[in-house]
Amino acid sequence: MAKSNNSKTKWLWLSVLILFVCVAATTIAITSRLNNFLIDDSGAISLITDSDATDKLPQVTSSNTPQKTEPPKKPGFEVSDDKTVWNTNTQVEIFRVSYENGEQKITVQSTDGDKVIAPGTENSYIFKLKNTGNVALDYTVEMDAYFNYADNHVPIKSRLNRYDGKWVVGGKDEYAEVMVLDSAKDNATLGAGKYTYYTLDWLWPFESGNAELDTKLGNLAAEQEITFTIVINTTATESDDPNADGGITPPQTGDNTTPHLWIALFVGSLVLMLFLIIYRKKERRRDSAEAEIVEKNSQKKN
Amino acid sequence: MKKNKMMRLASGLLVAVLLTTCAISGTFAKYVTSDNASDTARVAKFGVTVAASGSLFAENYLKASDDTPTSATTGITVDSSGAVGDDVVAPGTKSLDDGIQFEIKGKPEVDVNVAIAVTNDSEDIFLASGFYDNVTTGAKDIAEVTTKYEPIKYTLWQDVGSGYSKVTDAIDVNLATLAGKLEGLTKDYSANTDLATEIGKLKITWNWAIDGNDLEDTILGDLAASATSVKEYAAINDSNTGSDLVDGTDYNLQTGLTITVTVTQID
Repeated sequence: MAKSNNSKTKWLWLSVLILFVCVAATTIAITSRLNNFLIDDSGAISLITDSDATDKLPQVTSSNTPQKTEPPKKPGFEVSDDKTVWNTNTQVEIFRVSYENGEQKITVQSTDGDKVIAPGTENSYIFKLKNTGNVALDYTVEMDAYFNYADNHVPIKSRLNRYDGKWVVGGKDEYAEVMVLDSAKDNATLGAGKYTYYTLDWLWPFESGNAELDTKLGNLAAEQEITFTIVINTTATESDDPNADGGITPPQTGDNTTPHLWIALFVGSLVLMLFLIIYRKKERRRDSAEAEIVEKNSQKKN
Repeated sequence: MKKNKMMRLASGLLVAVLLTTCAISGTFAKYVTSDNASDTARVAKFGVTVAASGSLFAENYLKASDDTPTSATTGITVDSSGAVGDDVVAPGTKSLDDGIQFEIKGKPEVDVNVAIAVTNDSEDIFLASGFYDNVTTGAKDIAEVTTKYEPIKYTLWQDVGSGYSKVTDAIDVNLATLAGKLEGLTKDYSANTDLATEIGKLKITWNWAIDGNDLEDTILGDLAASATSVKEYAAINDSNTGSDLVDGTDYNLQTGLTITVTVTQID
């Protein structure tokens, strides 16, 4: 009798455990999808007992779809190139230490590791502005360009292009004098999760038509540093128009499955497995103990 | 009991204040951020210099044989009889001191081409091959100059840090050979090449041997003195066809050397 009661108790606990695992799993699964099923009750129809109250029925809209509640605002903005994410006063690779000609032969090489410019050198620099948040942003890109040598300007030319083809400085077949780059500015908006990019090109023509100036600058450079600096400033503010949608949508990657259910099932299975292992061990000990008692009793009788 | 109710009311109001504060702060706050980046470069160094010194020719010379300083009258074997400032050459003379030297220095940060050229207005003294009055004997016979005679012999020297040494195939050569050798030094150099150790210093000297070509030297000397007695003939025994020599075709008495060194960045 006692043994039967014990057995029932064990099965009861086992059932409880299984039910607990199932409840936990379903709770997690439901919770992860709860938001999708919140119903806007503006279209709800009240229960009416009056028979001639049909004209009082509220209008049923054609699109009575469930609406989502708005998530909290999480603005975010990031500027980067292919190597670095910008923060404050980031040093980037607009200029280089050495340059190659069309035959991939280095024809300009700095002696001491400083970045240099010379007739025949050129480079392109691409930077990306990304709206990493969930609110639209208004952004500004503003350029500064300056020399430390005032007597003769270095005959560098430049242009600045936005991804959608807008030329902020220069044009497709045209470079502007480099000082046009100074104070050049562009404004636009970025939708949530979207990005834009700019390409800055500069060059010092090999045949600028002023070899005398090029030579003068090169000889002066042997005695003193003649430097050229470009600064790119970016600013982003939350847009007054929440529906602003400029920029490029990044391709969707990954999948949308929720792992909660599978994790819950895994944990539940693990717990159940451990319980069964422990339970069976106890059963064997009990059986062996009972067998010893039965044997002792039979020996006594004998 | 009353206190308990009051505490509950106060607690409830505190919670309400906290909740409304959070809501309002979210309404007025506006996101603003900025980033910036920069880069700086300096103009690549060029700084190549070409310095020349010395001279090839002068108004007066010392003896080429012993080069010893002597008095102005006794030591000079050749004396200019032309206008003041005319430089002269003659058998037995040689370039003064160390001739003419030029040095290319610099370590440009760009690829360069160093071009050395002898310009077209450079000319050499010569006497064309042919049959001429034998002015050395005084007799009215004809002598033959078998090959074009170029008496000035140039030597090219180079110093890349270990002192001057003669350049192979440019020792006692005529002007055309010297020009070819100089122009053969034209070369491209990679960025950051120290030109002083690659090309270094170049020096040109010359000499006019006093012995070995008496006939030619005398004819040229007579022509320089505007002697019209020197004739040219069609053949060794054809004394009836004598004609005057033509300057520039049969002979040249002027010599000069202009060298241009150009260092150009290459792409």
